[in-house]
Amino acid sequence: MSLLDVRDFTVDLDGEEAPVSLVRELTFSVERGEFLCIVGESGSGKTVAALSVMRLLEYTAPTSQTGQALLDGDDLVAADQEQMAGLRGRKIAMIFQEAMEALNPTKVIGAQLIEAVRQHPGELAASAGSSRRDVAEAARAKAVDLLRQVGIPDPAGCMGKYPHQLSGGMQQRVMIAMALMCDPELLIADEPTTALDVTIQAEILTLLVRLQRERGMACILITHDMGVAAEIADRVAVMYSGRLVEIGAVGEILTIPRHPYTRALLECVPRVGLVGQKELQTIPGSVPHPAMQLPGCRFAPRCHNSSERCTAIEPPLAPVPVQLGTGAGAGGMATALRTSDRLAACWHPETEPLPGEVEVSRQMSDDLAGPPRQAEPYLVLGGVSKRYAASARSESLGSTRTSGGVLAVDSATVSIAKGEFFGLVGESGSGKSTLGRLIAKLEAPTAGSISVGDVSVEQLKGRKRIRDFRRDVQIVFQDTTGSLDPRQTVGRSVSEPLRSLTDVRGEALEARARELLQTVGLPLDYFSKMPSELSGGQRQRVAIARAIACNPQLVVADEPTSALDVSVQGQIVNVLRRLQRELGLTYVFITHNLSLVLSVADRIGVMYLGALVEIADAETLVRAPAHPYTQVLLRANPDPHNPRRRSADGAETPMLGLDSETALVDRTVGCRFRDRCPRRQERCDVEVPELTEKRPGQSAACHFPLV
Amino acid sequence: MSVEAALVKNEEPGLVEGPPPPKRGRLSGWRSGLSGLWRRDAPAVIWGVVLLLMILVSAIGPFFLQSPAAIEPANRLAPPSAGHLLGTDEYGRDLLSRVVSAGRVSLGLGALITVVAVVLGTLVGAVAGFYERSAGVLMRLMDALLAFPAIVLAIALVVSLRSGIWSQIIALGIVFIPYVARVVRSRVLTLRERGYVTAARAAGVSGPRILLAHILPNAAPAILVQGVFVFASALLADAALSFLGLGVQPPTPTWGNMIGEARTFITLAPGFMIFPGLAIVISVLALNLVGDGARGLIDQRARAVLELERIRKKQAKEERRRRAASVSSVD
Repeated sequence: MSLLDVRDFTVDLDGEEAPVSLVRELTFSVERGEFLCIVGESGSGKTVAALSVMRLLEYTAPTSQTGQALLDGDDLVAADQEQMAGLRGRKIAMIFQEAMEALNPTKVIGAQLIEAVRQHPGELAASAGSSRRDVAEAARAKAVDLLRQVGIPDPAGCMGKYPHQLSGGMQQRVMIAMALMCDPELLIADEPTTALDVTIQAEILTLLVRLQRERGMACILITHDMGVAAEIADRVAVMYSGRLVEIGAVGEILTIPRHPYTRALLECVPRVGLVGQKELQTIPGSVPHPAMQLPGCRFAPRCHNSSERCTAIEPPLAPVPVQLGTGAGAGGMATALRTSDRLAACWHPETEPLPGEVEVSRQMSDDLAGPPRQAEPYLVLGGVSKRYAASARSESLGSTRTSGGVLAVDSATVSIAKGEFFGLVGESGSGKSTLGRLIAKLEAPTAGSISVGDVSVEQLKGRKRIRDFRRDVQIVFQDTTGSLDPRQTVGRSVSEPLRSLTDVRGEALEARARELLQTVGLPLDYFSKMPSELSGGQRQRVAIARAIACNPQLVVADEPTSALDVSVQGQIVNVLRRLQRELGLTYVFITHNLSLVLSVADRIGVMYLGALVEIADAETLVRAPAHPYTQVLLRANPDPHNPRRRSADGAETPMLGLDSETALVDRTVGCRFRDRCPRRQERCDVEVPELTEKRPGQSAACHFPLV
Repeated sequence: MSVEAALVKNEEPGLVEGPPPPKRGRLSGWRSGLSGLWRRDAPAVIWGVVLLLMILVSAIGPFFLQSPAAIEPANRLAPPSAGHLLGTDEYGRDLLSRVVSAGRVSLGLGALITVVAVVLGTLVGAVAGFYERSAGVLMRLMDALLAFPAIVLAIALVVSLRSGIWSQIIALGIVFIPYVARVVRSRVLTLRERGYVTAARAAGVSGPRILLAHILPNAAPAILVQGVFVFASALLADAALSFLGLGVQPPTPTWGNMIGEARTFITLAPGFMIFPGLAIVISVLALNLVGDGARGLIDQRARAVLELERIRKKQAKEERRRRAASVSSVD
């Protein structure tokens, strides 16, 4: 019997009128010792399903569930909250995306870990004797042991620390330890790594797999990232708009997706190595809200292969045979054995396997890339630095002391040609966004020079010249909800730069604004809509329209797709690339998404703790990175097309010398990457490596580069 | 190259993303009008109606009632009767018409005080929030104002200014500036970090224009709510001043000075004090509850919690009904 057996599980949101199904007739099971990933975009109902299985959602929303969810024989749907309290922690535990939110900031880690066991002292008491003291002692010992198991460097010391004293990755480790305090048989992890950097994500995923294998525990991991699922799952369940659309073994799902949505989702993830793709794959339209009534298949309106039957009758989740001998690759044998496990809800399941590795020759990618590169540089950064004072007070007092504060950007030097698509990647805290803001003159650099065209940015004086500059350089932000004034119509937002930077007024202004909406692919009637009526992707289109309103030369795009689903991400990037071709724009594209930037950018700068550590064209970066950090990033990048291999016990970690507490390194002496670097030598501790050309067109700041 | 060219080949897939997710109908229902409001927060609606009635009666009542100054020496401190629905005061003046016309003065004064406090407070708060360097001076000034008990400060200001209705408005207006300024400043501090403010800067919009076009409109709901609370406090403070004889002077009636006059006659004619007192209590209560309701409307989180509570209650009610039904069917 399966450990968790979910059958016809439906979650209803009770409202004024008829209840709305957020999750409908979910059926799946999880075996002991199995790792199941539930994948879906936002609005697919994956978190709602998990929280409802835990029976936690009803505390915060008026929901009720029907159907069956048997956990080792206990029906979680029928249980009351008292019985659930007995099961939660002991049998089923959960970890959340925001560890900082889930940990109590006023209590030390140790107390919180021990508290987790207080609810179920049974087993500890049995092993440690009956007195309360003994139990407390045993709980403490267990907490320290678990902290060691999850990879906390100083477990005993960590017991006395407060959550804010730990980094995000360490907090997530503590959360995992806390979930394991009562040795649950099923662990549900809801996007546990989404808020973390890729390198730390890779570590946490490795840790989860190792713990799961060691304990023979069952795991359900919820994620929006196919790459994450590809890396750790035994089986993958794909959810769409509150329904389970496909479930099966990971190897099969990734190579021969049967549901068109699964396939489209996989195709949307940019392929690393497929440099200079013409267009990114996208799924037209957006996920229908679970509350929306649709008669047929919920994916039909976006499906490339929908028929009349699809729009009339909702397809049930049914076994789909996997054809053998279609060149599925490694998964061939396993496929034959587990065919009955493979279910998809589609009338016309896909039959073709996804194409494997595609090699694109340099010749071809050059043809497809944007406008031909000109040698003449347009944006030139010369040793640009930005220091933030330790406190706002000392900054406002104009303190010029060099000690203290954070050097967010440290002597960045690069020149970008006109019409180039320059990608800037780095983890959080690498200073990439700050650099973007410096280029757009939203902040002033502490040192160094920035010139755009023949204008020296830091010497810009006078209203007129600043206006001229603002016309030429524009910026698009990450936050799609925040970057549009909720009280102004789309039309007003788009025409704002025209009003403040040009003399266009009246009807010409409105005409231009409408034209801009068309340019970014929005219907004209959106002119008078409010931002709240738009989806995230549509809002980002509006933000792009606003940025190009005054025909700028250079656009800084600061994580323009990070807040969007992968299927919409491609739409936005395609708009940006089309505008580049048609308007001859130069881009500085800031992102933490390596797959994305590698597939769209001409050249890429890699930033680490404020410094540019490597600059190379995309293809070179993928095939032969020079800086060890670039290599680490590439290896940590979850890629469903080319998942990392794991040994059977999951213990193998593909990276060397990674430690999350890197921000503590003394950046003034030696190489800033030295603490994490597998190639560290004595010279790295004393001498700061300069960014120098290691090969034509590839420079790196490293004493011992990989090339 | 040109935008026109771009217009022609607009053929990428997924050009139009289809309808955006439907808005959460239940939460945005309040826009659909009074019925939505009623379902959400019935007490606030009731008290809002009460408040409107009071304002209406105060505004037009005096035209229909006898003069509040008409004395009737033979009929002093009379209990309520058909001729004088609320009785008379120590000069035999009709209490009903005095309470009503006092309402006109008191509510009018309160409104003017609120306007002064909101306008000046918004100005101070917005400047202190938007221009960081000014915050030190401005907010310390506000703290200094707050450091005095409101009523003592008001008395001091009224006494030092020439007495009169305007000096009273200005004095109490100044007293309530900090209550508005603090709210506005904290709102501006969060709003100025919003993406659209940065975007406006990048679009070359000037500072004052950002403040006017982007920040103040988004701070307006909070300012409005705070204004309602200030109105309530202003009514009370004004009543206190009048009671002490520092406000509007008799024979012009205000609720405050009526209570002051009634002090000596409390045992002889309790109605003399009770009716103006009731008027103050009801209007202040109504203002505060309406303010709470309005705050609930602008605060998404509070709204969601209220919503959940309401649905829970409804569910519990249905559950009880079901149980009752099943019990009776067993019988």
